[in-house]
Amino acid sequence: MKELLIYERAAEQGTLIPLFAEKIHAGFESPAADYEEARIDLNDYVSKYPEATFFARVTGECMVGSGIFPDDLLVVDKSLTPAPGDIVVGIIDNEFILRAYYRKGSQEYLMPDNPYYKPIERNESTQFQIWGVVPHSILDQRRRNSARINRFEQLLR
Amino acid sequence: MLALIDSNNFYVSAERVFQPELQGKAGCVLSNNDGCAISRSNEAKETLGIKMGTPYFEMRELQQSGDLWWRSSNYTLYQDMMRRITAIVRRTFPDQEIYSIDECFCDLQGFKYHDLQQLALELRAKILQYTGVPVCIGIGATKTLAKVANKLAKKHHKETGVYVMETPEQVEAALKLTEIDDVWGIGPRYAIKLIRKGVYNAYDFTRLPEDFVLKLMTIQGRRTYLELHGQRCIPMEYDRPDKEGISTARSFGVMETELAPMEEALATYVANAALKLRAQRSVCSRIFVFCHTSRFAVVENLYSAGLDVKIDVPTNDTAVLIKAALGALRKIYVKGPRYQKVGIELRDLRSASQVQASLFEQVDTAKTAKLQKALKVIDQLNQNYGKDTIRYAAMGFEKKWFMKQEFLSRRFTTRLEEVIVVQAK
Repeated sequence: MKELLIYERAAEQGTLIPLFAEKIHAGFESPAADYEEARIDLNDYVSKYPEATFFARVTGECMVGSGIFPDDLLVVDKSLTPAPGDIVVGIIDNEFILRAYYRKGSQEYLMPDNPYYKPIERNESTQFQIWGVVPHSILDQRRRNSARINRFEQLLR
Repeated sequence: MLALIDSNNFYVSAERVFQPELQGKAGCVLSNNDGCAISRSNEAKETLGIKMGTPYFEMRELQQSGDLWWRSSNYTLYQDMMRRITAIVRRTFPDQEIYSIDECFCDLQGFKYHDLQQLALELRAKILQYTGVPVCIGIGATKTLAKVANKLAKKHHKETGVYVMETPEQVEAALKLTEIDDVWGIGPRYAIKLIRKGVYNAYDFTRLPEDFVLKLMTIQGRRTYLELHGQRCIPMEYDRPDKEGISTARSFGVMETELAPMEEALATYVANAALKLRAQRSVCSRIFVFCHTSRFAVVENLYSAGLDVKIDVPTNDTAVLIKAALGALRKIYVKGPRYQKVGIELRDLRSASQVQASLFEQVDTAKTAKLQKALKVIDQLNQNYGKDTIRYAAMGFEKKWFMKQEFLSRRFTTRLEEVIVVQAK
């Protein structure tokens, strides 16, 4: 089972990460002050078209092969046209689902990236819409620590 | 040329973007307090005959039988979707006037040698893909003609959603298709007058002699007349002029009889209005406070009262305004009636830089500057950390009077904790 939670990207400013950090000694004016530049804005990196960008939250594991785990945050860009291989948010039976778009000949598929899940083939009985393309996903690495530690234990055994 | 870009059934369309289960089914969005339908899907209009303002209780059976869905109005969501749409429009047509939450006018002066039909078609497709909201685009020589074109796009060109009136023949054909009461600027009263005189559509209206129109409908009517003739009388407003009065009034979720909750509601309205006042850098020197019962109440329980209070030194300080408003409310409140609504209007607005001291009170400029600084910080905190983070005690905490929004969808685009939960099989 898989769930998507949809919400919006932050206001214009977003979280700013300083591009340049200089240790400053008290009493001296920073010699680097003249070289200060605008900070890196992650929003610019993840979304080319903010008006068409939404965020979604994942639950479920059908895309673990693509490195998308439960509770990860997805950037969903509705301005992009899905190309084969793209991870997409689709709509089937009035529900949002996460899969990868694939085309073979004239046949279209929504593919899982996990051998335990089945491909969805577009046919008479199964119709799907594509709501948006997922150009980036954000994984909370610290939340995966215990899974990682388990693997280390296996290795060290 | 001017373009009018107007979202189709905007509130319903915005709800559908995030709730696919609402697609293709008759539905509507309800007014504040879930009173009546204010936005309807095409299915609700065409197959169920639901009108603008059809009251909630008349639709209850349809909703229970599953033939109709409804939602309370989710202005947070609509405002965000509107912001997205207008920004996309601006990338194609930069000279833009945002006319209302679901409409904007664009001046196409710089697009003389472009294929406007093609540009409009591309823009419409883009908005639909990028936001999921369908729009219609009407293009004409004036605002009134752009409105005419937009209506025709909605009515007769559903597939393309675009209607361009460039040649005189196109204009004439469009005006003949536009009933007189569908013309922007002609109210129902004048429409009836005109129909009595045999003026059934916009084309008939443009055939009238100008003097006759001026006599029958005064200067406003002539403005519409000239606009339909392709003469621009209503200018583009790129910056909204500052408001002359700011009012906030809302109906209670349930009728209110006690003074305390009414005071809390009133204080909250004052705080909202004062925020708007500061945003436009104005002050006000009078505040009008009113309350009334439902007009459907039994006759002996009908009550309505209002009081206009003068403020000695014009201000935009929430605390001063709340104090004045509460003082007025206590004077007009009587125990007994079941109140439906309480509200305020800030009057006599002027620029904050033109404040005059009253005869008996010195304006302490240092103190005023300090106060303005404090208010600015409060407004900033409330903007960053959510409305009412810093609040005046008079606004209360319980909000028992708060409006009824039983069928509110979540704020999918602005709140992490209110996101959609969707399952895939």
